[in-house]
Amino acid sequence: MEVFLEWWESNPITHLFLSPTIMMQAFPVILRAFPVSLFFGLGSFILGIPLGLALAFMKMARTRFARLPATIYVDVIRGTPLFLQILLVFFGLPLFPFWKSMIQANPWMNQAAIFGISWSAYLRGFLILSLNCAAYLCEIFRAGIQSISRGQMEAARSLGMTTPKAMAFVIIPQTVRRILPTMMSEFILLFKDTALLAAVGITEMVLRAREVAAARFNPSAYVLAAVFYLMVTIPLGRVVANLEAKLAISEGRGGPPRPPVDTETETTIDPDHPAPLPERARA
Amino acid sequence: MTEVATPSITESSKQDRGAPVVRIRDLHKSFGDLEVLRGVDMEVEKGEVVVILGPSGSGKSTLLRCVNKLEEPTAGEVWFEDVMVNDPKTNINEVRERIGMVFQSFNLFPHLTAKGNVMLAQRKVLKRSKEEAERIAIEQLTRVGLDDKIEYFPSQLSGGQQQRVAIARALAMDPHVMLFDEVTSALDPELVRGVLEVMRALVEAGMTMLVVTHEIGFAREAADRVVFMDGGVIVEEGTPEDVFDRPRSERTQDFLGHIR
Ligand SMILES: Nc1ncnc2c1ncn2[C@@H]1O[C@H](COP(=O)(O)OP(=O)(O)OP(=O)(O)O)[C@@H](O)[C@H]1O
Ligand SMILES: [Mg+2]
Repeated sequence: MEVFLEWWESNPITHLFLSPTIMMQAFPVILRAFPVSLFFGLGSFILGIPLGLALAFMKMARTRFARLPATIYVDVIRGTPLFLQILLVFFGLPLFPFWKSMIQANPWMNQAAIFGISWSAYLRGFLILSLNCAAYLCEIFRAGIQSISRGQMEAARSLGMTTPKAMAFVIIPQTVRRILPTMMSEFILLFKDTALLAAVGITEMVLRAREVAAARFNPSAYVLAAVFYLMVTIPLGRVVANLEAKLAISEGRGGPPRPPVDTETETTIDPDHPAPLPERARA
Repeated sequence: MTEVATPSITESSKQDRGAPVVRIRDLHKSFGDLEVLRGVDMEVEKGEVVVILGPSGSGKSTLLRCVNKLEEPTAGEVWFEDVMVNDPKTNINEVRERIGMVFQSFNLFPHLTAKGNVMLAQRKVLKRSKEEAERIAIEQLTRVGLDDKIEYFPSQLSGGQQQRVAIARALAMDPHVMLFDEVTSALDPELVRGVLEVMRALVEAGMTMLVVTHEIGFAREAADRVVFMDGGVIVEEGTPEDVFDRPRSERTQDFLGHIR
């Protein structure tokens, strides 16, 4: 065992990238930063959902006054690097008078809060990540809603439902089922993109790994950080693949009736109904 | 069911079946430059079964869809009982509650079971209690012969069964008239019979029906009146015997010759 460890640490490849001593040292540091990455990813994603839905309805509106701003917004956000958007918000926002007066009135906003990150950094981080995510979700929602056949809306309306009711009880439940895998893929992308926050000093996993790597002159901490990302992205990716496979199977109609799934409410979602695969918003 | 004073043209033809349920006056409908309906007049009395025939593209579906304003008429009037359907002031949702529609492509809600499909609008539109909606759903599904498929999802049902769920879904709203748009056209031949049987039972029960179909057999035995449409106008109408055995118009003769 001693001999093996010695060999491991003296071999340049294993020592440089998989050094156990450095990883042991980095582990608690990165573990403490893991919730920061998850918090930014999950929080921005959840905030992005209503925003993205609003944008989607704007893009499908009849009037150009609603469509145009939404289209421009989505094009601009999706057409520029997120890294650039982060820099713009983090260094641009504090230059605005309203931001300055807000900080002056609430000095606590610049003080360290949970995980040693300031409120003003949280605010800007969530703002830009959710604004960015909303643009991608908008396209996912729009494609999903438009993939539901016109006949569904017509059937609902012919039963006397208003458009909002038809949306809420007929169109959206079917859409959600269809776009769930795509939405989860979008979350995986966003979760990985939280690493960009390292550039503006938010102490998430990559920044912490960099600190250890710089101090020890050894990149093994980066490898450990990668493992942390994979712990989230690989299981989620499997879930996405399973959901997609399920949707693909249930696309086939007819065949012998399968045993019914028990449901009590109208909103229950059947895991077996036919639905085409959603359009992928991002490859 | 109070009636707005309008001269009735059918007073003599029917032995007091009741007031008109649907009245269509000089109905025009265009899609862009394409004039699909060019002045249609029609009246359907309570309890009457009217079958609409005609070649593809003659405007049958459009006419039916104007009755519950799934299409907005370009000109003319559509009346349902005492309300003008295409009056912008009319609350169209209240009208649609009372007009059942069944589509060629079923349009069942795939995320709901057969029972869920029949319950949804009862709950959300008529505000019936869950218990009542459920009771009526089971009752209507039994009526269309699907009491053993209540918890099945549409994807687990055959086309014919799906179409019968769609009929039950419409019936659960207590419609005053039912619109059928080629409801058997998408079905395999062996599944057509079950759906037609349900429709015949509805006729027996005295339902007012406006039916677009190519099923001449059904039209012959079930229709009180057959309407033949072509090019967006009514070319000929009369009893099934009149239209099928003694068609006056050449276009009707032509059409019947083709589909026989
Ligand atoms: N939403 C629409 N936009 C443009 N044109 C339409 C629309 N709906 C129908 N049409 C056109 O109107 C004409 C009549 O259509 P309609 O569906 O009423 O005919 P139909 O008699 O029901 O025919 P079929 O037997 O094929 O169902 C067709 O030429 C069709 O292409
Ligand atoms: Mg048609």
